[in-house]
Amino acid sequence: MLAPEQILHAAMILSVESEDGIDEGLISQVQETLECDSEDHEAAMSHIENHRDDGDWGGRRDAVLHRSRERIREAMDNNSLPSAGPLADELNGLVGEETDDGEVDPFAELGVVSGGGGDSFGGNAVASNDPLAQFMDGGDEEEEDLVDGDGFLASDSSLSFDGDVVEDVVEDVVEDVVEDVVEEQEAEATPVVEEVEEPPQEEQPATAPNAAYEMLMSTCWIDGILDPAEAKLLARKREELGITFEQHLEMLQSMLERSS
Amino acid sequence: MKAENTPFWHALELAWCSDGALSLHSIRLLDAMQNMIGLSNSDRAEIESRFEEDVVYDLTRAGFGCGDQALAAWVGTLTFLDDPASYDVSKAMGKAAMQSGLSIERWIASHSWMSQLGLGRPYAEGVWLEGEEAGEIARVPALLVPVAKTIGLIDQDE
Repeated sequence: MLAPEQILHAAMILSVESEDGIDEGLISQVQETLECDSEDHEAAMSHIENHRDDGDWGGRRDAVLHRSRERIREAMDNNSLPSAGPLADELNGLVGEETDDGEVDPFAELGVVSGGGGDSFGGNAVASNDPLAQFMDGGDEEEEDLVDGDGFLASDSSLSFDGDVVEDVVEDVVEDVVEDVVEEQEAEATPVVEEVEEPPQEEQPATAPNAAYEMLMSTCWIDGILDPAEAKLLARKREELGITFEQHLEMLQSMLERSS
Repeated sequence: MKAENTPFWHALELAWCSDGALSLHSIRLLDAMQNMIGLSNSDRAEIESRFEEDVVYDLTRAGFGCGDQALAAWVGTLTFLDDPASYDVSKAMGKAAMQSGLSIERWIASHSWMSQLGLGRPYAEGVWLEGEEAGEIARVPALLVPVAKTIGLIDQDE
């Protein structure tokens, strides 16, 4: 489920990149519908200005636009935005600007496919440039997610995160990680079922969120600094994953001990 | 807890470092401080051993332990721990630290410091936005000035 500010962000990107430039009237309607405040609007606009790069988006224009369209479609599908009426028509116009031959999936073009198999850390250039890539194994669209999410990242590999960006990216990452960890545990458990006593079923979901949360926590300090957006994201994830603050502190402590 | 990032280490610095000597008055003040913050004998011993190795051996004596005055003033600030607002202030300081951008090193140092004062929990809550949102910190209490410098809320020169 996308956060309202993510949807607003996507709409603003598409509007900015449309032929006529940003339509503030449309954006105001979207903002109002999503109940986003002016701070969200300013943050999104600031981010766009910082990363738009005259429309090139650091060489990821197509990926950024593609992801933005997907987000608007998803928002309309889940009724975060109206799927009928004048606003829906305008949004469809915005989303519909995608042409059949205009969209280029840079990963497909490069022949990059998801890691799958056993190479957890991927072997492609895109993944190896990004510290977050280690969390991107196994899924169908992780690399695309990385770039699409990163469509909002700086184009260089130094990962100059701003608050909204990192929240955007790591939120996608943690969801993938949760799924991956559960899948891996299930996959590992399957072959030994006949030889080893089957572990209690309830243990798996109890472990997975913790592992995912710990990985998310490590990504939040990947640039060396904890910022408000990261702390906010972790607080929200604790709540979502049912992780107590004591568990958080314990995980943090063990993470720091391992890294020292 | 990292010995060098604790209030007791700071107290030892005050006691020793002005003239390279430790007065009897300072020893009594350190005892008083130990009691006030509930520091165990073993933890105190560990900190003092480290302090001797890292600091005292390199000092050159130039007096009779006149650091006791600064130490007395410092120990006096421990009354903040009895202030009902200490929890909220610590939480607010955690939030302020996070908002100014908190590195791993600063987190470790500051949390270690606050923990020895029994304020580690509210400070952590402020940093990690746990529970009710912390307020803004209006003024840093004297007891927390050294740690406020560590996390960059106050200039080192002030």
